[in-house]
Amino acid sequence: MKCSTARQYVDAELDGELPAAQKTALDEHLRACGACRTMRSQLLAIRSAMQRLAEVSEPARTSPSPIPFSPVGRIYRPAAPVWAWAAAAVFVLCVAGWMTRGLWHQPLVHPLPMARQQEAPPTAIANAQPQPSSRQETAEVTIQTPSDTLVVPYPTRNPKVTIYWLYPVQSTARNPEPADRDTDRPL
Amino acid sequence: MRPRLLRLAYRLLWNVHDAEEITQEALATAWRRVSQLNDPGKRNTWLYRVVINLSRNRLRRQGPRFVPMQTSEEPDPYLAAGRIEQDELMDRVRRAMVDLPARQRAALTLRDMEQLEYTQIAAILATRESVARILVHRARAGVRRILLMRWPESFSDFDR
Repeated sequence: MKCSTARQYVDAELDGELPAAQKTALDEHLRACGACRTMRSQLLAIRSAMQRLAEVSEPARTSPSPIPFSPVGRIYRPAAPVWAWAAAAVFVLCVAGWMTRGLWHQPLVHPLPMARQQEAPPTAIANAQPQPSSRQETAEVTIQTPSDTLVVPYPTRNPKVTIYWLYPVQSTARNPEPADRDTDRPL
Repeated sequence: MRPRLLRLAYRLLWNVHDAEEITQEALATAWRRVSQLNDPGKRNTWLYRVVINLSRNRLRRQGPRFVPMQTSEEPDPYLAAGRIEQDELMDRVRRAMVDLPARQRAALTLRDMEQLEYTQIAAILATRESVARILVHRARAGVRRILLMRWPESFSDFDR
């Protein structure tokens, strides 16, 4: 038997897979070969040390697993597919839109209070009498030179209320610019 | 399953803290990718492979970090106190195992410490059974060679 064959037999012996006939042949070779005998004893020593190492390296404690295990038998929960997430997002958007549908029809800018005044019926306007509690404001404006002021009436929906806009008009004829306006400017 | 993964990670790294991290990372990876597993019956084999790969990456990145057991203020809780100091060969063997190539180290750990069959080892390492046998045999020879190179006196009591 060659030493290479003896090495293979020793490996099989360590694995517990060496037949009896080959074990006898190996023993005969080991009695004649000191190198193979030393190699076998060293490998057996290593194997024994590893077995002792396995004994002392058993976990003495096990910390609780941070991953929650399902009680129904499925250890791992597979991730939801993409279409499920998309369907969930569409559903949430639909529900949110239905709940806020009233906000869509309200104007963002409220109209002026004057424009929101209710138009009174013609009969009510004809018989309208000033109410004691109604608020009436009157502004008196004295125009010194009527020709210099442009008065523009601005009627409202309420026939009793009229707004007058006063635009000052500057006459160029009365205040002509001097011809030599720029002559006294410093150079 | 978690204690077995933790034990395997510890026997590959020999550091209890790294083994805890590797185990947690492996379980988190399994949680994320379990939907990609075609055969649920191979879940344990797959988890073993994840732990082996993560341990190999950890050793490549930061090297071995043995927890000192004799004078450490933080003794290794997984090793019986005092036994490792009394068995010097045991300590040298685990240090030699860390220096083996990754696949040989994994194959030897699975065979001689986890007591798995060669068919299981081949499935975990994603190779053939004959290749798993070769890996284990080369790993044993590698451990013997490393011991003789670093500590020639290791087998003084065993040589005949």
